[in-house]
Amino acid sequence: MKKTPIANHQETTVIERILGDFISDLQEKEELKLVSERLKVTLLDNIDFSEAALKEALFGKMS
Amino acid sequence: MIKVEKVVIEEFRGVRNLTLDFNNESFAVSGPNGTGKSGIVDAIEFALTGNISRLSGQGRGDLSVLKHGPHVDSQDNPEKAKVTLEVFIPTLGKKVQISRSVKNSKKPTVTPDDPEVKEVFEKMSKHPEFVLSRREIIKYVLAEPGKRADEVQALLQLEELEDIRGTLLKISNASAKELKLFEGEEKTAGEALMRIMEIDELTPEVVLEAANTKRVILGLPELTILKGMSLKDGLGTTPPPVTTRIPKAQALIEVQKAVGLLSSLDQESYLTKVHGANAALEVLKEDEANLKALEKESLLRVALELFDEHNCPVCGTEWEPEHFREVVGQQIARLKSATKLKEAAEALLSPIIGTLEEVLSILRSVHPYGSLLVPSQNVSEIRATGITLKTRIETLRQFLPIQNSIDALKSMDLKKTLDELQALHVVIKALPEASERDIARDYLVGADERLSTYRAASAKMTGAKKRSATAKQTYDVFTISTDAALEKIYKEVESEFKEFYRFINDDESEFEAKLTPSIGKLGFGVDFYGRGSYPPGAFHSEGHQDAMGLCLYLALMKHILKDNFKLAVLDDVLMSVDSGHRREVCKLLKTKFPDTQFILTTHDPVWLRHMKSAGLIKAKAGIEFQNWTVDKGPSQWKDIDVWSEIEEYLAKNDVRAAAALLRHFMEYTMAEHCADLKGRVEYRGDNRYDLGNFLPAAANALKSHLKEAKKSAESWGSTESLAQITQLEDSFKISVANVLNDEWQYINPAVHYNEWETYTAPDFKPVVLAFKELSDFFVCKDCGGSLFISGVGFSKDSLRCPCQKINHNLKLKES
Repeated sequence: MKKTPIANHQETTVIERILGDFISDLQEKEELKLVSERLKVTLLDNIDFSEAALKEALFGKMS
Repeated sequence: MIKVEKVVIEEFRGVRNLTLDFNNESFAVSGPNGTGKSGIVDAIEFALTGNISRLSGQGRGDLSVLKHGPHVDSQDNPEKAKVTLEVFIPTLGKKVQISRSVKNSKKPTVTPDDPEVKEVFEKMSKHPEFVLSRREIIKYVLAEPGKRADEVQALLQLEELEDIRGTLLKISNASAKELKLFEGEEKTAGEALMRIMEIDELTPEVVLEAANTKRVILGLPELTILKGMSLKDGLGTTPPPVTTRIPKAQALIEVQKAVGLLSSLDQESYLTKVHGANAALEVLKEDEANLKALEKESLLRVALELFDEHNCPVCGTEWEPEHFREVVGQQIARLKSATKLKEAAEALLSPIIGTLEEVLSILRSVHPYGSLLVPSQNVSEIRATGITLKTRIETLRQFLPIQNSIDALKSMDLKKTLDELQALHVVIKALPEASERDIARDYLVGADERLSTYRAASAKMTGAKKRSATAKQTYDVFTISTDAALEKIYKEVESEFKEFYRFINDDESEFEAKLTPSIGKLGFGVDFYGRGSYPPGAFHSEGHQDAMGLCLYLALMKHILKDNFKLAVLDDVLMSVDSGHRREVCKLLKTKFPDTQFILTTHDPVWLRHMKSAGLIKAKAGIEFQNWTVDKGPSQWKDIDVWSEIEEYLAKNDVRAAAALLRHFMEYTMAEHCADLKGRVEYRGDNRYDLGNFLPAAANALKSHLKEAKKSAESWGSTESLAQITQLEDSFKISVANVLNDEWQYINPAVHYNEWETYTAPDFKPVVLAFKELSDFFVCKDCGGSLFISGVGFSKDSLRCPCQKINHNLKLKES
């Protein structure tokens, strides 16, 4: 299946491109759709790679 | 990225005061070692990043920008050590000035101070890879695979990718641990439920069947599904009378079981197990070395567990994952004999822990009965024994310190607890016999309570299971996805690397290379003339290795920045490349990176000429440092000023210096003209070529090309060109004759035999004039570039200059 690029490859850094592809791969897994949406915000929009942020993206808000 | 328009350096490194105009174009600085070239590289890097790589990083000891950035005479005044750059930011279309002093190296003054401009400089300061020295080249080419992976990933700005991978793995491991804990809790809650319901199997059917038996007695409808239902559904919300709150029958069974299990801790069969385990622990305790080894082994296993694929969890040192596991694994293997003993002891402890857990579970079940009775029954000993058992189980599971485990096996005084259990049994037994309906109701109330506990534990376990699966799946997808992406990147980089390398080595048109990524490593194999693939350092010369390093760097930068690769500062990176390949390097930079500003340094003036004649830099876009003094810093030798400089010497009647400078200058310009015009230099066995070899060869080459140009003009019927070339040829012949017949005697013996001492300045002036006139024939007056022969291979198409103002056709019209 052809991936839907998350990031525009011409204007982004290499890491953004790789993370964009990762998010696309996650999206293809039905059970990880929600996780992929949260990770997109965390990794690509907020550029927050901390453990707390990644945990919240994986499991949703605990509180 | 940016382009540098101008640099102003003050009291910085070896420079006192220097201004260079780059005009956003490629620029080269040449000069012997120790003349201050690298000071310019340091200055550009410092202005853009606040750091000087040369003074930081591995092996740099106590060097620092603050102490060693300023000129040695300004060490106490770091505010005077300053670099100012005027730059152009193509993506913003803006001209910007950035100024940074060593004193406030982290706070540059940026004008205009726009957020978008700041962002550009922040990006550059985080990734100073736009500066490349030979030291860095080696990192890409000769480093071990693990180190190379780090360096290349740093260049690709992918360190954060590894951080994310490590964090995702950490979260996945923690989730798996949490799942194990909740699985245990669910199991204990399930056992307690089965006990109170007196069932042997925990399935909805069995639970429903047992509950419905009691519900029938109470006249309640049978439950058909268990999910979301209360076993006491329909029983009413009014709490039952106090006297019947304890399910007497079940409570008696449980208390009796508690007595039996607790008593078993004093029985022979259990004590034998304890004795055996104790003996095994004592053996380990007596052997101090084994004990220490075990403590170490335990630490090593924890380290393996906590390793985040990046840093040692103990000391924080960075490791390649495979290497870390290998080293720790070897250490664990060395402790094998101790490990065997430990495993044997743990096997002996396992049934003991099982028994203690069983006792703890039953005590937890009967303990609440004490407070449910009226009056309440003292169960403090039961509680205390429960706490002790919990502690002992944890201690035995931890195994170390070994003395603690030995202590945890010591017999317990259970008499008071057994007495309390017996008393509890008596009181419960004395409770009035409940009716069948009361028993059924108590059964349903108690079972429902434990079912709730079980459901809560199950829900926790399900949540943990889901989290663990999510974390693992995400980590797996991340690993597969990023590995695939990296592989793709390396394939593209590999392809471009090969293209670049073949471009500068036309004798290696079949050259192959392979970048092989694996976990934490990047292998690099290159073809050696069709004889196989080897690491770059195996058979290739230093010159080839330098070229490979540059090609790999360019391929990586092109991949990272694409059209935004605007600036590269190359500090003497190709010192080992022979002159034959330098021209190709210049062509590579010029043709493959036409929009990139290269700022290059070289200790070889001939290199500078190569750059100019190949059109990589414009005729006036280069300076040559002649020498350097601590007081004045570098002194420039602008080749356009050579003639004025010679005149200055003559004005001081210093004929010796004037002759030496003239010879030196003519020697390297004529050597370049030979290369540009394909002049034939007579071969010398000793390889010691001088002006006597180069000048006649260059002159004959130009003469010959002018002759060919005349023939071509004739064949095309271009009378105007013919007249122009004829006039040029005649003037050139006279100029050559002047130099070779008369003036030649002055410069040649003057240098070699020191006969210049007999000449005065007025004698020497005509010599200089003659050489200058001759030199002017080889360059274009408009662009300052050298004349050269265009054409592919042996074909000679035209005699031209870089700006093409001079362009004489050499091809004859076909008749």
